[in-house]
Amino acid sequence: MANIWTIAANELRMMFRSRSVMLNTFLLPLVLIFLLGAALSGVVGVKGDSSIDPVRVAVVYTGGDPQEASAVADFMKSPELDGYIIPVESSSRDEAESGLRNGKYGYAVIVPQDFDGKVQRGQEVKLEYILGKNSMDNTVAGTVFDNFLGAINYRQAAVQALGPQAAVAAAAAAEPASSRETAVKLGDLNNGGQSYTASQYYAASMLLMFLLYSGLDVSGSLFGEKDRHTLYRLGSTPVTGRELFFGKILGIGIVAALQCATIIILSNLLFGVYWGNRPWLLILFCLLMIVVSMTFSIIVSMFCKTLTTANTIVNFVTVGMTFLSGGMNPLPDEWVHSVGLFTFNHWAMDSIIRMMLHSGLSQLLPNLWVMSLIALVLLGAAIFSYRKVGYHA
Amino acid sequence: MHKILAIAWNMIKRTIGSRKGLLIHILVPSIVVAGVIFITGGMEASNPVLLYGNRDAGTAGGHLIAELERTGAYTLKEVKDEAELKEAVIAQEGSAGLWIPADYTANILQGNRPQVGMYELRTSESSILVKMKVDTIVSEMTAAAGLIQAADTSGEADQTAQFAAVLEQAREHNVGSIRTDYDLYPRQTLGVATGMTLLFLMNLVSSTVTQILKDRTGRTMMRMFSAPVRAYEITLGNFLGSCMVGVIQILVVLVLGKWVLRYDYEVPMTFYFLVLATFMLVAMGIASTIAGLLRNPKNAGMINMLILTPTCMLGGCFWPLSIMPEYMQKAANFVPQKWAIQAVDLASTGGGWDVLWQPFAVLGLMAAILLVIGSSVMRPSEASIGV
Repeated sequence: MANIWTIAANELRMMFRSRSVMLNTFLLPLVLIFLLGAALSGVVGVKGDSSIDPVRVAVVYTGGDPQEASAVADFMKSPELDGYIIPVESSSRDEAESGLRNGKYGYAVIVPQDFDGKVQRGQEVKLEYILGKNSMDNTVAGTVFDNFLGAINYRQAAVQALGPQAAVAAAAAAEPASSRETAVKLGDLNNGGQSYTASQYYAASMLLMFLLYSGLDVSGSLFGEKDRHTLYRLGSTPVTGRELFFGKILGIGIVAALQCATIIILSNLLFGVYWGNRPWLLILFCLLMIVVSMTFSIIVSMFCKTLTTANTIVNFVTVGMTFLSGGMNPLPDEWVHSVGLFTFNHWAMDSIIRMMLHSGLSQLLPNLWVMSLIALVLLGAAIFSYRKVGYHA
Repeated sequence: MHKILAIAWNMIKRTIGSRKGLLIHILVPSIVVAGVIFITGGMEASNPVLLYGNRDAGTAGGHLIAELERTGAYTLKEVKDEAELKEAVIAQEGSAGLWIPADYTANILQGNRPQVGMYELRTSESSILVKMKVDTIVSEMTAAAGLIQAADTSGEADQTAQFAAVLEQAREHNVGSIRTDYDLYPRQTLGVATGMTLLFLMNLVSSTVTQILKDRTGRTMMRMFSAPVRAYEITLGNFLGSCMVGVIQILVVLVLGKWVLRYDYEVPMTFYFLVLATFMLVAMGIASTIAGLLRNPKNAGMINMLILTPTCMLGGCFWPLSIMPEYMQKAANFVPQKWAIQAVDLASTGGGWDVLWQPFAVLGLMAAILLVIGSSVMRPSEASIGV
């Protein structure tokens, strides 16, 4: 038993001496959580973003005379558009189209004949938008013109539904001072406790990704001894193969646990990530994830001949599972519930988020059983493969 | 020259010469990349699910939902109560959840601007767009309510009926717009699909650099240097060999994506290949620079990770750059991924070489600098096996 500790301590010492391991284990996750938090923090809307370049919009009056569509013509001149839209009158649809293709315009609006008259008579009238080359410009211009048309549409509807007295009122009310106050209140998913932010989601997904990555340390350590031919030397010492093996795994397990604790504590202190109300259960899930990651890597290392092969497999499984569990970028919703279920990350992720949101214990237990089951199966497979293959020079 | 080719050929043989090497370095990664492209490409077709609960006694809530449905951009799914809505959002059954409170219509008719509750587990593009859309619809409804109040002062019940009538008429969308789409703009998922390809490509490239590194730690490089070959021949040979392996990897990925999974890249395949190949040179430069600075090959892969993931995030591999704050977008200029994605974007919108030269020049410059540093620091003399 003492031998196991000696080897684990040595493993720890070697890892802590290596600068790259330290950077990768403790700094990288924090950098990533910060990047994710910073990149996705800004709620980007069309309004309030000063960095938007105005869009050059070609306006074609099919009737030829802008006076036929004074509502549109007035709107084009209104100061509201400043900074978003630069309207440019274009002679024909063809001219506008070719301008769009060669980048002269970012967007085009085709105004039909007798626009004003049709609006007043309550007839159907549609502006035609031609989408340009830049998705962002398309969104900006589309939103601006849709808002404009929406206002006209509601006014026309009001006149039709209420009769002519509404027209008078509409003229009087002219431009309702639209308050910039948002109509959407972000609800708190939480059942009490601190409020939940989107950055917590990514903190959890990054934590799990890095716990899976710690499997690379296992394969690195197991193969490193072989590649450096130091396993021969160890064979001449009074250490049994089993002690050596478990010592190594223990050492790496301790590093993984330390990494996990660092990520959780530092992300909390530095970025204010709240990790939920059940610290013991959180620890339990993290430990299960470490067991899963270690045992998986052991199985891979047992059946691979070289470090590169083993690392490639662990790497791809880690990135693949994080991706499929929706931890990197949003997946189609149905994927999370089909393919996502087959990833290790999904179960731990779901429970960590539920803990952050103070969900009841009954919702967490199923995840705990699944995680335990995965860990048990992998542990069994790891023991089996160790017995079958072993760890020899 | 044939010495260089011999070294290059040896490099290729060692990496992908065996059946296992072929499997590990070519087949498995390519299938993974192609699969990722397939999934992200498939996202285009599927609408995000929007969960909602409507407790509103009046017509405004229903109108809001109907208008959202009319955009055709969401699959709407109703849930019973607020607790269930929260639970469904947490279980990720939808991208976002909307909750319309009971007195919503009444509140609007009183001239207020009541708020709809929205739940989301994480910020995403689609949830931002939902927010904007709801904002617009609510503005229109409050304007309509204002009109009704201005028009006459009949009783409250009357106003409710009038409001319902206005909304119903508005749903006809007599005044509206038609969008003509010539597909001039790059598809949203193209950037992410390219980004994912770059991420995995960088990962792959590091594996060939590991081979060179192995030569160094195994003292093979020292022996090679004692052979009658010049140092530059060894470097060039290794470099050429790694390039060839990379090119084969790219080709397999592209062939799988294009002809097996039928993903539409929107740009000529030769051009896409050119972008990826140029990017591969940069990736190789990064990998060899790191490898040169490190003594232990085991850590090279790790440090690669340290560079790879953050730069991919910053470079817009995971999400469009436009949703990031401005200072982050500026920082992205220093990242090669950004330029590769930009090149594909520009080309897919029909940009010619008059605009395309810029991303390629940046990528080429990055590759040149990094490769020079990389090859100069990869010296056989430093073949110590450190920790």
